[in-house]
Amino acid sequence: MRLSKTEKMMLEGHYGEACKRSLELIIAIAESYGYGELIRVKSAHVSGVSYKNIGDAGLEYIKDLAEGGAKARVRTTMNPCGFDLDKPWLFGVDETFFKRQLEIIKSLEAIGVEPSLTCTPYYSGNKPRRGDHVAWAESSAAIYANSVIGAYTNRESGPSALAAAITGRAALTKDHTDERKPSVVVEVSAKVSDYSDWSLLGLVIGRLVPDEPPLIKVRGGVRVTDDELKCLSAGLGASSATSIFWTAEQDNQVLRTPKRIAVTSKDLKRAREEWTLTRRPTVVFIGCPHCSLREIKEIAERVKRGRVKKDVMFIISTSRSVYERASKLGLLDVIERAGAHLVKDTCLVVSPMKLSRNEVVLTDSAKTAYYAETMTNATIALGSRRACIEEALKM
Amino acid sequence: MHRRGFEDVVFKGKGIVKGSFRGEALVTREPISFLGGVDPSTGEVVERGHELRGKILAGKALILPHGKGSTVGSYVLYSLAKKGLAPKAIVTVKTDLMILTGCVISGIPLLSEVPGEVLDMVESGDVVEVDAYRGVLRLILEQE
Repeated sequence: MRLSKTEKMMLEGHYGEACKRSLELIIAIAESYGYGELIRVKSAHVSGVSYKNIGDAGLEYIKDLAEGGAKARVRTTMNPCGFDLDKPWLFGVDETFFKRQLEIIKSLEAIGVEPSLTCTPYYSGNKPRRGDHVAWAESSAAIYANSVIGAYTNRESGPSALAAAITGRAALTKDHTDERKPSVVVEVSAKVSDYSDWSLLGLVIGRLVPDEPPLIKVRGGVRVTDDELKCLSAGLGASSATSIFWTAEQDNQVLRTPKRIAVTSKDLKRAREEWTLTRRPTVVFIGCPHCSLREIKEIAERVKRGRVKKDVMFIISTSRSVYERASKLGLLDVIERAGAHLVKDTCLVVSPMKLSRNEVVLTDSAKTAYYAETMTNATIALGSRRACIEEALKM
Repeated sequence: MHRRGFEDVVFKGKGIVKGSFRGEALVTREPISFLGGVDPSTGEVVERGHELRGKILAGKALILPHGKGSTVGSYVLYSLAKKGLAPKAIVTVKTDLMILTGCVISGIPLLSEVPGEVLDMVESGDVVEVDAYRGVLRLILEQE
């Protein structure tokens, strides 16, 4: 492999043991998965922050890098952790969890990773420009960066994104070139309007074609917002290994491969039936991926005349930066006055919240439904955002 | 694929994380998400509807098309390996970054890019030899 002078020095250990190990990992990926070359990246985003998901082994791995003197060479943000740093009690965090979670964050900060604690770094100042090469983990964010922003990133794993942050390099693969092209056309005749429809559509497409980048054509060419495409990215990321999608509106490229599949109303209905609400929810959750300021505003408008039911915990999650803006704009007040919890830094799936068999969780995120199903004991239901808000409130 | 006499069936792949293992195969045609799809305290597949649901990964040669889902999966594989609950070797048809990184940092032998027919021809419970030095998967048909 051709290496620059700096890269050779990294391998010789001039930048410390941790940097050497990190470059070795990137090189191993480039040789086996990529084109045998490295590419410089402008930013990184690391996943694998919650102690619930990475445990003691993950903590030790990150601590070793920090103690080995690793320093991020590019702007790097981090995924959500197990609790809201300002309200850790809300999700029933115990002392061990609390301490180890803070240790993970401290170690990442020592490496130079910003404690953004969000799966939507693009709302928190880490937004690439179209055409930028970056190294992002968090499947929803990597897919969003490629498909909606027009950046280039591998769908990095937690450890490989961290190694890319430390070296400023990623493996050059198809995902970093214009050879990335759709290999399947998905004709969607189902009606997709709500956020939950978009996330479920992503999940269903990922199940049908788990390793083929899709060109998604929605009949009637509906106008779709970036927030809806964010939900689509999250659903697709959960059920596939795909790193990018296209929508007909964005791209007119002619496909040489004629493979076509259809997604009908029946397909979405069948998928939705796996998570039908049969009992009254005890927990209502919105915010996977983290809500944008615009979504927080929509929610505030809908909850302002209502009050959350006594026996329901209504959680809305977002990033620290959006939370601060929502607070300044008075939206936080509106939401809290209604009795809902606006939380930052975390979400239902990465928090250690104990959800027993008696709990019923209603969410509008197919990604949350998919993971919460095996990661908690609760009964999981998927509903539209409107249904979530209506079930949570007594009007 | 070629046969050596009537003994073994051999598939060529690409040895990515060096190492070898001879033992029981656990085969699936469905991709796996290590986060959410596998219980990190037992190494049991728990994804609803997955054909391997209830099966234990520990000590097996896991043969699958590729990984899917969360980018945190690599850390889950690493945790499983530290507890002795990870597969002894992994064989995939396509390479993906989650399994690749997980295997590199955990030292789990990884053989990739084997032909898709492996998923039809090798069955769970078969004895296989994963040789990630030479890039070969061998289905052992002779009696032990």
